[in-house]
Amino acid sequence: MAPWISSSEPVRQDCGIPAIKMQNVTYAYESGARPIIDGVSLTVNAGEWVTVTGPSGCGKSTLSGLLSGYLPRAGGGIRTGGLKVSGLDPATAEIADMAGLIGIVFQDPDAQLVQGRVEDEVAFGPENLCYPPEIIEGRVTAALRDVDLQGRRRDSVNQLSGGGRQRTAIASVLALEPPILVLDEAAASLDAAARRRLLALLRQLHQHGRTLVTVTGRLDELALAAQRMVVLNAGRVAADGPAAQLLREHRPLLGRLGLLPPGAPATGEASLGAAAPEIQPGGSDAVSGAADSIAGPNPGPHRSGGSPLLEIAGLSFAYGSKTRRQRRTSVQAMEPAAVLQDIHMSIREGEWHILRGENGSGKTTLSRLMLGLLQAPPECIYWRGRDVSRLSLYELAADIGYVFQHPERQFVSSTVLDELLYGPRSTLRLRPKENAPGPVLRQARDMLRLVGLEGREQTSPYLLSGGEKRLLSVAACFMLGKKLILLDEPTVGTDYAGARLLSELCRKTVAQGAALLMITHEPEFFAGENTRIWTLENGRLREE
Amino acid sequence: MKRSRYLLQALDPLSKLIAVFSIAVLAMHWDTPVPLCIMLLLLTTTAVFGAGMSWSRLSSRMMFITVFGLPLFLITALTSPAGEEYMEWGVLRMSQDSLLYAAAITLRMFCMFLSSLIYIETTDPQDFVVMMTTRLKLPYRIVFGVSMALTFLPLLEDEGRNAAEARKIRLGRKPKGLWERLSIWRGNLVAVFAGAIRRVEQTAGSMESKGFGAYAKRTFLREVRISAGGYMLMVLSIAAVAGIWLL
Repeated sequence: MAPWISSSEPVRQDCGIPAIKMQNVTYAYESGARPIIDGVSLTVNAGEWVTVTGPSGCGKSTLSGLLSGYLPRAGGGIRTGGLKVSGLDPATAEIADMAGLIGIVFQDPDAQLVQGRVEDEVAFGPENLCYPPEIIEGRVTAALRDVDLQGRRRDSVNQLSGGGRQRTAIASVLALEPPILVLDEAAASLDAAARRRLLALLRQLHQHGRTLVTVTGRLDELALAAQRMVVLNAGRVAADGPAAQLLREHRPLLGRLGLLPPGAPATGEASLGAAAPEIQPGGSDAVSGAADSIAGPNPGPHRSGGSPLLEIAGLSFAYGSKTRRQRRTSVQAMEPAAVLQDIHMSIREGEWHILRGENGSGKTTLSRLMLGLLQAPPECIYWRGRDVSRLSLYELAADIGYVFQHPERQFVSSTVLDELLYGPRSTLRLRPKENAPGPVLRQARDMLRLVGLEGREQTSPYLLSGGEKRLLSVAACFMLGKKLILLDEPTVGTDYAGARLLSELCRKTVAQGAALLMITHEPEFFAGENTRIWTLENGRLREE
Repeated sequence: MKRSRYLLQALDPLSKLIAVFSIAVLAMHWDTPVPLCIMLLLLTTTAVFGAGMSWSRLSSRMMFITVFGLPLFLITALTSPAGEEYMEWGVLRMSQDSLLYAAAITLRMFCMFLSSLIYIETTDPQDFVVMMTTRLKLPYRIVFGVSMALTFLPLLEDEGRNAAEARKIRLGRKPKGLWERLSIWRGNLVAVFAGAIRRVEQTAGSMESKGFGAYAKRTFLREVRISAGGYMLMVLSIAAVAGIWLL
């Protein structure tokens, strides 16, 4: 389906001045700390489309923060070296100048939405820049059409799914019509259809003369649509050049950094398309061959069996729907639209289920109902034969682990190591001053090694990069011998190396007899695994 | 555009604000429990039938204010000037007058809390900003500050619920003993505050990147009108205050 693109008149930019110029820029979050950006020099010309890529924790998001001026102006830290955006230093320029010059969309929509309603969110920027209401109206309408949110214009942003909120965030920046647009993992929580739409939109914007910077940890089709690629590693520029050339000449480096699907050819001759999983409709069954092997070899048949751990029979659910008692006592009942309709599913030991569906299809709702985070209707969901609606969260959490969509929301400790040890310490009922037993400590250190966080034991979980946070949240959940683990969008924002690690963790856990239910809009990452795939569409669940 | 199902949701923020101020003035004017009790009853009815608040939501909010109301009642009853009739419970001595006065003070707090709650529940923060900026000509930066606070209250509530859920899941069992419960409660509190600080910092950065505060004035896409009902509410509120005050 071709997107209807209205956004943006052709943009005129001052051809004499580079859009972005960085000269030996260094940035650290604290004085004396290891610099996250370490002597980066980079020039992006007006009208160029550049992909900035690198492994998790290499400084990509910090670079975006520096370009917007958020760092060091609001976010603190120490920056040295020269940085100009269209001739202005973002750290010291006037707010109005920067807002009209550069727009940045970050990975986490909740970090950038400031208003209650979708329409207000998109109008917020143009209103600040004092555009007349009729111009704002035109921009809001166009931006919402570009991201396919016209129908949700008057809804609260909190009613939207993660992908819907991200599209709102994109629209709010598009409405400012900045000549320079930076997208920092902006497609991470978008489903395939929304990513296709975004790609088409970016192509259109580029044709209209916008300068685009796409920041990503994966060289997928969206990243490789740019003509130029800059590879960051440990805060430094590891490679810079035409994307096609880098793919040919630096393929081993890109593979080593986890930016390419492991199945992609190791040497030169591959075309762009061979490296990049295409954005195609339909999720896993439409993914390129390269992505099929992301997860490595198929571990063989899982040893599932016995009575179901979790069984769902005829579950329907709507937000705000009345309880039985309320229905008896009220005559004004106006039942809202059902998010889930007549769901049937069962999960047994040793099974790995994947639940996929477009943004807003109800995947997270279903998982929250399973764990009792939402009040489940009676006699619809059973955990080991017991009605979930009659079980407390504590009773369910004794056997079921849950990995949140936002890793920060599940962190409970001040260091990475303590985060891993929290669950086992609780199970063993250790007092705060008691040390964790040796085997548990060894398990934690093994887990840290597995997820690439060795040597970061004493780091605050909040100071990790987005991908690292996600792996830590999964690892913490896998430290315990839960019977069922629910993972909500565990691949969002991770690079290919992170996704591979995640796959390995899941495979091991399933082999030990646990069951997994993974909610994802990127099932292609687990295409080589022995999984059962479910699709949630229009509130109805079907098995592939 | 969706029609509001409840009367107060359809009214503009300015007329409701004047009504809230009128209620506050009357609540301050009375210092006996009976009229304040009647006012609380009327406000409760308004919250349910005029603002569409469910009984469960209303009772949970009132439970919150009771946490502060109960100590206020006890301290006022024990420390206010003594009347003639004493009641004794061991070493504690209270007069009937001081009890009635404490009840009035506590009911006053309940009335003012509930009227503000109704206002927050039925007012779109963006409508509030538009009205205060365009009608009352207040500086938009300050009004946005108030509006953001209104927006942040439910977000903080969400944050608290998430933190509590996450800890329950991570703990995987019922907490044992007072110390563990306190430690979990403290952890939740820290998580909410840390989350709030992070959110405020992110929001401020995001607002600035979208040009907030660039100019002394700003425009608004949305227009908020005062309806005939709104004018009527303003006139009735002011007339009621003036009339009851003079009585």
